[in-house]
Amino acid sequence: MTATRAPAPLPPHEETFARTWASPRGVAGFFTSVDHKSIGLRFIATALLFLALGGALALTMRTQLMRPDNHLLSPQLYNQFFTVHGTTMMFLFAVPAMMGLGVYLVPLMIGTRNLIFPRLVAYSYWVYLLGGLFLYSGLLTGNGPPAGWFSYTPLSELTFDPTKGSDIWAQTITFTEISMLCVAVTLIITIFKQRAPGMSLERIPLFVWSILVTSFMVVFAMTTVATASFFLAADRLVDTRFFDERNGGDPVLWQHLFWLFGHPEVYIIFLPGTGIVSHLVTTFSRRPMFGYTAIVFATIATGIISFGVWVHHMFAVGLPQLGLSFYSASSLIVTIPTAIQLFCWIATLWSGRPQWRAPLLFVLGFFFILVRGGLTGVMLASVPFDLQAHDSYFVVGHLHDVLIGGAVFPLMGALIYWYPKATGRLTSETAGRWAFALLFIGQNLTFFPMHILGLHGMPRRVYTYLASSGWGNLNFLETIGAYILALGVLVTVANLVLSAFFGSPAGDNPWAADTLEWATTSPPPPGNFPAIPVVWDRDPLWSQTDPSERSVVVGLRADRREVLFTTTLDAVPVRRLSLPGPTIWTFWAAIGTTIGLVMLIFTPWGLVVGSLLAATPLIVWAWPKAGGSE
Amino acid sequence: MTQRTRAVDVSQLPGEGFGTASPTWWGTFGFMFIEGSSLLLCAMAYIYLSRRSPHWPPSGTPPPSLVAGTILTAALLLSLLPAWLLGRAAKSLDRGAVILWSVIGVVIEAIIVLLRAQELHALPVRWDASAYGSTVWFTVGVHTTLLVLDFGETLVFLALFLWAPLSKRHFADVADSVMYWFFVALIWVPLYFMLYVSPRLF
Amino acid sequence: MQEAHSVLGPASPQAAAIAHLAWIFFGVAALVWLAVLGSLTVALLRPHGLGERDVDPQLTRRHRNVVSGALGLSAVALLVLGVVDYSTGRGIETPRAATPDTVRVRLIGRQWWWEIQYEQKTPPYRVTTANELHIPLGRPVVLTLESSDVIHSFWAPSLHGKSDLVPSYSSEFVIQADKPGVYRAPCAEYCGAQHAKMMLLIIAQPADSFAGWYANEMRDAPTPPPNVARGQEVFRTAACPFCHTIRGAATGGSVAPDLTHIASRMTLAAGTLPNRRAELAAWIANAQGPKPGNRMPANLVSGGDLNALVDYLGTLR
Repeated sequence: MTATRAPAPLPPHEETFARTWASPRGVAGFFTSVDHKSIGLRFIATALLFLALGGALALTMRTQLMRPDNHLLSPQLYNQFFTVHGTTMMFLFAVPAMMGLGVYLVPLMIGTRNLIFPRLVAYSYWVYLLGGLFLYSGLLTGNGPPAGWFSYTPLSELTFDPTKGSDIWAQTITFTEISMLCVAVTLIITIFKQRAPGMSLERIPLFVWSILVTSFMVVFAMTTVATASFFLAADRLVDTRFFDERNGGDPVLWQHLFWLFGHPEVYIIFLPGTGIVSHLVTTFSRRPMFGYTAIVFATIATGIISFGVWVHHMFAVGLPQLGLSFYSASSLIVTIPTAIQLFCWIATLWSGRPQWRAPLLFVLGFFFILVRGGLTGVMLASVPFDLQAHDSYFVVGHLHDVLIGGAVFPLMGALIYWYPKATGRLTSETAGRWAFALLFIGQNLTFFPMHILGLHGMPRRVYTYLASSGWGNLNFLETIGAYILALGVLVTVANLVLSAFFGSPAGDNPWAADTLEWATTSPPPPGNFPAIPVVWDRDPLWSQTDPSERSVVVGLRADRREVLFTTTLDAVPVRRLSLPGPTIWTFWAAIGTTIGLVMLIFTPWGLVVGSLLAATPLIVWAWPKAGGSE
Repeated sequence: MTQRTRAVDVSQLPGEGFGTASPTWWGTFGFMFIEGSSLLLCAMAYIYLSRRSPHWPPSGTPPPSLVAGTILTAALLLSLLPAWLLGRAAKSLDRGAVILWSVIGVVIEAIIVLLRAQELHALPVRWDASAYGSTVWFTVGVHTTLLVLDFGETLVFLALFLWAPLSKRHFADVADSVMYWFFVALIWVPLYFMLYVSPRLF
Repeated sequence: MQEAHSVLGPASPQAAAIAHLAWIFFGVAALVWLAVLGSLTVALLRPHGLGERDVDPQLTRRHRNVVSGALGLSAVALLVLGVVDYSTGRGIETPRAATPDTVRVRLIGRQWWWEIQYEQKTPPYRVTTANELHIPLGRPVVLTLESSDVIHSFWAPSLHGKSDLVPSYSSEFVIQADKPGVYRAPCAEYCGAQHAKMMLLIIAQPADSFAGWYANEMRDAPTPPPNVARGQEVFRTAACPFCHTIRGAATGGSVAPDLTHIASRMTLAAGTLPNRRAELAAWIANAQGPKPGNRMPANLVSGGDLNALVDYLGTLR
């Protein structure tokens, strides 16, 4: 999958550099690599696998709902399906896909050679993969969690779920939380401290900003859900009483803790989507972003405000009225920063020349669907209206509009856009357009009618409905839409796979884009930049179009994995930093973690065992080797 | 155009750094943030449930033993002195002093772990007796995992300094672990107030 | 009767206010959506065509004004919506109806049916039934919402928004129907295996028919005529009284619906089946068929006993 140019012989420095940064090949390489590019691509590929699995569950559910009183799925199986569908999409697809994209792109965009904790990120991938497999092993052995992706108590407590399902759910959360927290912390520190010289804050690419804000949100939000899931796991395993109302606990405490995570979670998914849109808008209008500073502040504001709206998921619980008004207001206000971004994107597009390629189509789809979703969100911010629409299909329509329109469409555009950078080949433009058309039509046909169904009284999470409800026709239509949507995903995946073999060669910068990842080869060499670039403004490749004009850094050692460590605000180099290389011990640490977490669904000793089994490889991986470079 | 083709030469920059010029410092800080948030959430659960109950601790349950809790808290605070000395030794790149204060640190932390075990044993309520018991055990328990983690870290660093090839960055890492020890000790203070003092005041 | 269950087909002052609010919000939302997509379309069809490095201060200034203006308009729109929302909310809150003849009902959510207890100040103080809530037309009814197991939610879209039934919480909720009819209220909080088939029916009747229904409901089950006495014996000797009660005939458990007047109800198993002889027989023979996972065991009674039992239950109007 490399660019098809005959490689010129490398000068000695570059040869040493290539050798230093090379990853081991073959199977060994697969388990030991710490190259952020391989790991990022793995995150994305695995996330797409979970998209397919979660989608298959959804398709089965939609087939069950195609007709009233259908008997395709038993209620128990249906309930496990929608639980695993939601858990998959939120924890195993959306966040890992966006963070994986960040793992791949951030070092390239900020002009460095790897992430600051390469082994930690390698470890995170395995923990993520194993956690996902763990969830599905539960489903396949009849122990699928049955209490919804949000796992409300008391339904998820031992009394009402005596299976292992909710334990498996709680530990799946722990797996994904460990993984995403490690990635988030790594990304934050890398973005702060490893930027190319001259890349001050106001020159950071907008996708990197979105990943930075998202990573901060992950640190706060995922810690919350991890703590909550520990409480639940403890209630089930050792009889603590956090949510047991007969012993001083409170089932509503779960809701507060969960939604304190759950609402920022959807913005964790959405904000990287906006970061992607910023890049697609810039490249496919050939204009620098209008209102860059406003967009940065809007991203930060969205991130902060998103922690102040969670009660809007709980309007029906019976909380004091005055409190509800506050959260109603904050839920209205949170739309304003997004509006800022929307208007700036339109202004940017307006000033330039639209380049009609598939990624731009996905931007249009994003606008069409996400804006609709955001506006139904405004409706849901109203307490009286929410009390009608809450837990009905109206919300199902809303959430799929904002998540698919706001994250999946940009992600699809991103895959087409950055595919040539990762592989050296372009995808098929025709296939991309077909994929867009199918996804667009499918999404709208599936999810728009849901708003109507909700207003006609159809509740959520129902495995069937009465014929006399009159909901049959719209449900049938939605099922057709779901199949079209699935076809769109299939075409996308086929496009990505086949283009690896048949795609036309892309150069370094096939889209004539402006950010640093396009300054290196497609695919980038190990170590990304033999010569780290110096940056003078926001769109370095547009201001320094002649490669020979570009300023570079000299003086980093080629016999070690050296990167530059800079100041936080102005990216002034402070010291050189040696990064660690490949190791098998990250894989073993993940295995140790897995053993511990799986044990935890049976016995609390899993905590001790897991800690020991995970800590030992961790110590080995961090133990210095003779010679000074690890 | 041509005035920008200057190359930036970084070969004279140091290859090591302390404090915010050390990635480990940042990683430690991130971990402190995460664990601190987790403890904050345990405290929030304690406070939230306390407001939902007419009596907190529930009637029939005494508050935890002030003696055991205060001894542990005092020990934690006292341990900050040898910890600070360890940090100073690390920053002076003094291998001998680092080993000395690490040994002392290991001993002190072992005592503190034992005191914590005693404190847990002295808790008047089990974790499964009531939500009060659950939140107390969890808060103390999460803090205990931080204690144990730091104890383990001190041990590993001691081993490293005794037997492994050293470079400047390991001294920096020891300094960062001291920062973590300060965090573990100081974050306990508000929790001590919440668990031990406030039930007796209100 | 046509069963009503639509937010947009309100039958109460509260639902009407919410529907009105929904239309206002929808109208504003539709306009905003059209404006945003419209500007995007114009932007793409008639772009200014500047290049990557071009700087046009006039255009920038114009765009800045338009963006600021749009932002200002958005903020104003949100403010207006917020005010309309707030005043609608205030208008909906019915003042506590303290009149002595206010119907007060304790509604207890259980997996997967609705226990209904009418409360009155005089003996028998409590009249218990299940799954079908009759209310008098045009008057507020005060519901006390509780749960005996997990979280459920009461939602009659034609009458009001929803309110959760949370174990250990007891919340008051006032509903009112201004049009006679049968209103569907499916459980609106996922509560386990049979959440989908936990539907409450609310029947709003003019005052006199309500009074008649209520008076009947208060009465115990009549002594069965001789030709169905066998059915009553079957009920008493089978497993039924472990869970069910027929007041005046078999005082049994209260973990399942009260059957004293079962024949007067429109549906069985919380809206799962129409209440007809064949369905009732099939339900008793195998409750796990139409509602798998529910708490009623299968194969309790069969053959001649089943027929007798169904005959007997059919007399419990």
